[in-house]
Formats: sequence, structure tokens, C-alpha cells
Amino acid sequence: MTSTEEKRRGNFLWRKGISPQGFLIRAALIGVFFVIVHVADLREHTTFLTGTPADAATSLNQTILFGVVYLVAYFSVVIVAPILVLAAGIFAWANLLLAKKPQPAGTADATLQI
Amino acid sequence: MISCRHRALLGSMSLAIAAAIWLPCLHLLYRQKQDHFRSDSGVSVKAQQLAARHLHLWSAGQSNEITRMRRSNAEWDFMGRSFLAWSLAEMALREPESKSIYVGVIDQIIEDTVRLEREKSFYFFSMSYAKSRPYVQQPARSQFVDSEIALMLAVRRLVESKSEYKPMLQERIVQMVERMKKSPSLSAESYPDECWMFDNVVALVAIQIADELDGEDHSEFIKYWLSLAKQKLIHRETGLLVSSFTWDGTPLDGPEGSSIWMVTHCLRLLDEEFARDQFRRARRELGRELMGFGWSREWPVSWKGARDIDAGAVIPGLEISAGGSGMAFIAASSFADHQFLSSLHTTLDFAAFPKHEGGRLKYCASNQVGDAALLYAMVLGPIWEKAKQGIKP
Repeated sequence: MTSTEEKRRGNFLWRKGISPQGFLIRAALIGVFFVIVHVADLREHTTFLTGTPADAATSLNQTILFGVVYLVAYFSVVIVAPILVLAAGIFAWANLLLAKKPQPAGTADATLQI
Repeated sequence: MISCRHRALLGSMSLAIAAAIWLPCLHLLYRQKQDHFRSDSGVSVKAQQLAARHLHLWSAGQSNEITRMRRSNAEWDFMGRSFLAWSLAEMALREPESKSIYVGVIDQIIEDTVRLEREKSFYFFSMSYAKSRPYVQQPARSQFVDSEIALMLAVRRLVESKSEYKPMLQERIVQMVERMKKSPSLSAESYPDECWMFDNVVALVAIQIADELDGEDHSEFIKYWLSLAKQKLIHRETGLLVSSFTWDGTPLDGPEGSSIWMVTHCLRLLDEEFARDQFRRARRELGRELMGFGWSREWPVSWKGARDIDAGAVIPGLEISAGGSGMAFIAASSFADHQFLSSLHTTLDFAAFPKHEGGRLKYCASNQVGDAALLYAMVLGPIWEKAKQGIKP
């Protein structure tokens, strides 16, 4: 792959990542991650917060590992995902406003298509 | 068309605005009406569901629950019993129609606990360092075990008299008072040369209730104890009672969230004014609220304490202490601090992962002792009121 192609692909991923759609995709991925750890019942391992193993047969280290994974997924789904969804809406609305605003002449070379 | 830089700026601003909208609203998803977790007369829905799980554990055998707690801390096995017995006594007064069920389980807990203490000694309910060196006062006893069993017996008898329990309580009270009087700090050890404020205040409450039940009078001793504690066992920077001290009264640990909240609740029965002052100070030094969520620190800012196993995990940054926050429910409920209590419950439902199964409730992030302490916070009240009124059972 040539450096121009790499740059073009990088720009494409950048555009997709920093966009309303990119935010929504991230929120959806967080949701899927949470569903997986929730169905796997990793919630039981959050008992590590009181310094207790999940059950008599599980080590505390294993409980901590699974518990932390669940905490990351849970707090991502209740804090990060809603922020991403809201931000996607705000971003899309701002894009619409900016699209309606006429661009000053001579800036086209340094810009990317939305 | 917008530049990459503008796109990044616009994205960041969108995220910042979204966070500014979402974060202050988040607590609204978890906030509950007060009657869901606290009832003035009966037993709230949440308390009923928590109690149902504990009653189920005691009726179905709870070896897994106990084993997993004992692997971390044998004290929790014991404290889980105490908080449950004290909770059921409160519930028996709140729901007289279910008294026989609750009293039956209290008796089961007392008999099993006393049997284990008799067969395996108090060390069975202590952490391993209890055997690391000799106790100052001989023969060795644990004020931790004595005081909580005494309070179990006392509240059980306050709910309904039981002749077998009268000598058991009296014997324990005599032993505790004798040992406390011999100590320069007027307190007995829970661990070698280590007296805990929590245990000694629970002991005083048991003594006070036993006085009501059996017509004894230890009021002078209690007054003297309080006076000495106010002089020698106060942390200067905060004005709060320290959490542990040596047998001769030298402070060890400063004020601690997993201790002081319960201490303030117990003090209400001994010295209401002092209790309210300690609660106000604890609220200022340890209680925290942010965007509708409440919690307790383990240590005040002015004290740098080591990690204590009783505290559970402490989340850095906000210094959220699992153990301290659990105990904060008890004080907030006891002193009717509705705003703090509500914010604590909001945090509980947000970050302790409630799990409902067949009408039973448990908090996944907690354990049996944590849930029993929460249950106690939800039902406490009638026992202290009855003890204050001096009503004989």
C-alpha cells in the first residue's frame, strides 16, 4: 500500500470515527460488550469490592479480574454509551447547521467532505 | 465541508455537552422514593426482599456464603449473624404478626453462634492476628465477640422474654463490665492490646438494654466511660472518636468510616447530644455527595490510614469506601438524614448491582454481612425507642 493510500484510508477512518455515525457505532459496541458480560453473569464477581471471592471455589484474583471486566462494561453502558448517543445527535445537528452556512472562499484545499 | 481539526473540535464539544447533560441526570435513573427503602412503621419493600434472602439462607443452610466470606475475613461471618439478629429484632417489633418467625431465626442464630464460640473459642470469629501475641488482660477474651453476642441476647429479650437467655446475658454483661473497669481506658480488647471503639460502644448499648431488662444500674459507669472517651479518645483535627486504641488508651487508628457511623448510632442510646455532634462531624469529614450520589470516605482528609480489611475496596480519587458507605446507611437512617440516605441508596442501586430472584434481593457487589448491615439500616428504630422508654417486655 502506498503512503497516499494509507493517508486516504487514515483520513477515511478518522472521518468515520469522529462523526455521528462513529459515535453511534461505538455506543452499539459497548452495548454488545455489556450484554455478553451480563449474560455470562460476571456481575456476581463484583463482590470483589467487599474483598470477598465470588464463591468458595473461585480465587479472589479471578473474582477481581472478572469483576473489573464487568465494572468496565457496566459503567461504559450507563455512562459512556448514553453520552456517545447524545453527542451523536448534537454532532449531527451541528453538522447540519454548518452545512447550511456558506464557506469562505479559498478554504476548500484544506477541507474534507463530511 | 469542514476541516479535520474542526471536525475533532466539534466532536469533542459534542461529547462535552452530552456529558454535561447526561451526568447530572444519571442519578434520576436510580433514585427511589423513600418509602421503597425506609418505612416509619412497617417494613419497606426493599427490606422485606433483603430479609427474605437472609431467612432463606438460614433455613436452607448457607455454607457457601459463609465459606466465601470466611476466606477473606472470619469476622464477617460473625458480624453477618449479629446484624441479621439485630435486624430481625427490629422487624419483630415492626411486624408483630410475623414475630414468631423472626424470633425463631434469632434463636437459631444465637444458639449456633454460642455453640461455635463454645466449641472453637472466640478465635473462630477473629482474624488470625488474634493469636499473634498474648492479650494484655488474661484470660483472653474478645470484646468483639462478647459485645455483639450480648446485644443479640439483649434485643432478643427486649422483643420477647426467654428465661434461658437471662443468665446468658447477665453472665456476659458481668464479664464485660469487670474487664472494662480493670482497663485504664475502661475498654476491653478485641485483639491483643487493641481495643475497638465499635465493640466497646456496642458493649455499652448491650449493658444499657440489659439494665432496662433486669433492673441493674450501670449508668455511672457509662457516664464515666463517655467522659473518659471525650477526653482521651478524640481525634484532635476532626473531633471524632478514634476507631482503635491500646488497652491503656493510646489511640491507634483515627476516625474510620467503617466504625464511626455505627458508633454514632449506638451513642444515641447513651448520650443523644454527643451522638448528634459525632454524626454532624462524621457527615462533614466522611460523608460525600456528588450529582445525586452519596458515599462515605474511609478516613477523613486529615488522617492517612492504612488499608483496613473491614473497609473493603476503596476507590481512589473519590475515596469511596465500600465498608464505610455500608455503615453510613445505618447512621443516616438513625439520624433521619433523608437527603444523605436517599443519595446513598441511589449509589447502592447504581453501583452495587441488585439482583432479584424469587422475591429475594441481594447486592452482587456486597456480601452477606454487607447486605445484613443494609437490612439493619432499613429497619432500625423500634429497639432503640423501646430501650429509651424503658418498657419491659
